[in-house]
Amino acid sequence: MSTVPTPEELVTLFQQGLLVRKLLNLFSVRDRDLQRNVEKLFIDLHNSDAVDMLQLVKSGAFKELSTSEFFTVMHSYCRILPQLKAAPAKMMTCVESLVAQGGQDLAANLPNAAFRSWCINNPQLAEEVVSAAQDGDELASRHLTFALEATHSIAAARKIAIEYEDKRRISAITALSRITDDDAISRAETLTVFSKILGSSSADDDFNANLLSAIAKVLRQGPEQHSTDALALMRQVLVDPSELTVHAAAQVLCDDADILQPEIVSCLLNALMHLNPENKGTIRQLDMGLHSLLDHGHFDAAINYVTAYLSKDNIGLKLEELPTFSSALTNGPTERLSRVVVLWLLKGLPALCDGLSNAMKGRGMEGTPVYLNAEDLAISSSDKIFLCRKAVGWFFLKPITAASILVSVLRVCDEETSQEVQKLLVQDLLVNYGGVRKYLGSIADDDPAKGRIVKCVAMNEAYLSALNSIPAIKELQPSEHHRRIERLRVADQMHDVHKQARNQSPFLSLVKRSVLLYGNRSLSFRKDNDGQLLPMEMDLKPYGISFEMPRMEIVDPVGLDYTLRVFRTERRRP
Amino acid sequence: MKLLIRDYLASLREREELDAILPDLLSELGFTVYSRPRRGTLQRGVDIAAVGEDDDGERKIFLFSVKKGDLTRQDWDNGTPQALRPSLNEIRDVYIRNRIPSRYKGLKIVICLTFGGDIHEEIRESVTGYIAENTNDRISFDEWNGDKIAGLLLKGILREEILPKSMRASFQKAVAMVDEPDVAYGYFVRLAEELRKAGEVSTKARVRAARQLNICLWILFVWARDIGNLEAAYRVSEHALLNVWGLLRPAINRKTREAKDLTLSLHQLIQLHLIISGEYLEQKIVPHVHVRHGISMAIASRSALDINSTFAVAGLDVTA
Repeated sequence: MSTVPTPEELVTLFQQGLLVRKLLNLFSVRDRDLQRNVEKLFIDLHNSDAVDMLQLVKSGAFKELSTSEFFTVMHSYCRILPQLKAAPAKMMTCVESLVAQGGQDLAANLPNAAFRSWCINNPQLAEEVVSAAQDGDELASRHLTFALEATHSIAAARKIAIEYEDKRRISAITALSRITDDDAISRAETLTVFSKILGSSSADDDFNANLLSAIAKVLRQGPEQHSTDALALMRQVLVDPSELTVHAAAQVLCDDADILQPEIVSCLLNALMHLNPENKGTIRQLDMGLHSLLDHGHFDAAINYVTAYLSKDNIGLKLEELPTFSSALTNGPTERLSRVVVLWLLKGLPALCDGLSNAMKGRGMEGTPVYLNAEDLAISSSDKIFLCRKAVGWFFLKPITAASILVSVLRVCDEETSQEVQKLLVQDLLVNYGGVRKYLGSIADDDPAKGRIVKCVAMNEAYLSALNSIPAIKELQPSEHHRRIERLRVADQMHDVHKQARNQSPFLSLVKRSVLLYGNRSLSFRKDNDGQLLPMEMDLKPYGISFEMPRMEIVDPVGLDYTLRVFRTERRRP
Repeated sequence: MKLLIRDYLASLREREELDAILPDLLSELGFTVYSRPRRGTLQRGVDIAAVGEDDDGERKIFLFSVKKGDLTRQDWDNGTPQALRPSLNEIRDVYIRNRIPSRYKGLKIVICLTFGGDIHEEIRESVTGYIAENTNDRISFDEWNGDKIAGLLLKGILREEILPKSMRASFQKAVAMVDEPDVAYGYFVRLAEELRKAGEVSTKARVRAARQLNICLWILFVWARDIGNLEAAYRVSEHALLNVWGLLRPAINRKTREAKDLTLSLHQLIQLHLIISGEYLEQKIVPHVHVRHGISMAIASRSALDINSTFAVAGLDVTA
């Protein structure tokens, strides 16, 4: 436990240039009250001019802090800064220095929030920042947004947005997006300002992105009154959007899907067709945005967008990169999933089908059954067969899912189509997986497809009986020597897989690994706060996962591979 | 070694299987074979006819009537012309009177009752009685059972001077390990290579090596068939065929007797290869090909590689 030094000792340390390490120790204490007391002590020391906390940030010792040490100190600094007496320039320099040292970390911007709080505590000084920015001071211009926001200077922000065409305009627009308008008239006025500056010569990607966010924030405050104006502005902003604007569009979807009109959603999604798949941050926002659309009644828009975007040639984006959306889709209402399964399988595009297959995760590796609605299956016979072939091709490693799609079709198709579907069920799924047979057996007797399923199971039974009637043919069996080689190869392969799994395990990177040579429990000791050894007993239990290998993987791997390739790549006749 | 050969002789299923090696055996013992077994011709009870020296040193005609396995009551006299007794009668009544080539007419005749196994005790008296009744100054009878033929093989074509210990060891190991086809194949290949090298010494040696290979392959095949695993026999038959082809090549387009004998040996080996392939495919594979994945599952392996290799072998079968 650290002992808090006296103020005199701290001043001495500051003078000797040793305060930073002490600061780290003091700010690291777990006792929150103590921490707050220490922070107050430093505020007092600074405000009494005994110690210069802002100067300390620029010292070499501060710059030498490791990343984790820096953030420990920075969090305390963010609580201290709003309380410090300082000239605006000195405060801004300190804040900028802290932000710069924070690097790319998301928490790196926290000192800006502290500066905003400082501005709220010192409104006169904040106005000095605004004035300095208007006079062209670079440092003040970079902090203009926080000063405007803190002082709620909506009029000044509008004025700056109109009068300046450099970065100050963007700072003002950002401030306008953060300051809450008092009423609809004020919001309309803000939108008018946006309308005026739209299309000016300074309208670059950064400008458009900020403007789009600002329009959306205004819209959020009064969605009913301002939808038409906002839509008109957005349409202009989103003409031929670049990367930052596209990112902003994704952000709007993510944050405001609940208040967006269908036309605005459509406008934003059209802009998102320009998405660069290498911009992972934008994709994360998009993922959340699409999920939000699903939850707020924009299912068709979201699905049509994903369908259209993933259907683009050589796009390089996979459905797996939209995990939140995929999960919401596959775990959401069955009607939604039914529509998507039919739509995407009929499209037949690898990006859609493969993505869907990977997204449909269940408890077991064999997949979970899906129920396709009869309305979704109101398609031609050839399309039904095409759909089933795609289901077998893409869901082959999730046989229960594949079988359930075929069963859904068997419920509603005519006799001629059912012959083809039954063939697929018997020759491609039942032949490979005993689990499929078990699943088919679990289907209720009053299910419309039951009769056809019973026929399939009977065919499978005949197939298995014929196989069992064949004696072992000694001549065809591999020699013991070959079997031994194969066993060694498999053992090596399993060893490698095990090693890779260990390397990829998130748990093993967190814990210390020990190997028990014998026994079914372990006992270890840990020290408590008083240094006493506490026994930790752990019973060991087996944990495993299993899956059924398709029989043809061994019996006819080339034939199986060929069949699946055909099923996956074939196209419908236009 | 003798036991191995006796078992082989006793296990022959068809009369033709014994026919296939007897002419070679006789040739190697110094007999002149003037009539070989033929299908579809009326042979009047005689399957093989040869001229050679008897144990008493006198040159005689040997007429062989061949039956497979043990000589049972059924085989001896079951009322059909295929039984041994009617065959012997036909030899005496028809063959000796009409079919003996004029150049051998002055020679005494030995009628050989030939079979791969033994005479069942229940008919021993009948056979002995028949022989006693029909033996005279010109015609005598001899019993060539499995034991005698095995002895003759070891004295003749498989004698130690021409099939030394190292080759015999390879051959015996190949037969002993016939249920481990890879091992058996390895030993037999070694034997075949050594025989081919030994045959390269002279034209006569080539003929002998080809005949030895033929007999050795027959023995291996019959043993393999008995234990129900033809893989080794199938694979070594291809190898044997290629080796005999190697022995024959220098004699192609020659009109010598050795060239004819070598051609005959190659022909016999082709026949044997077809017999083995036929047995393998027709008995083991073809009955199950109508079952989807039947052959693949019968391989009983969890490795796709094994199944793939099998179809590669099956492809060779079809080609062969």
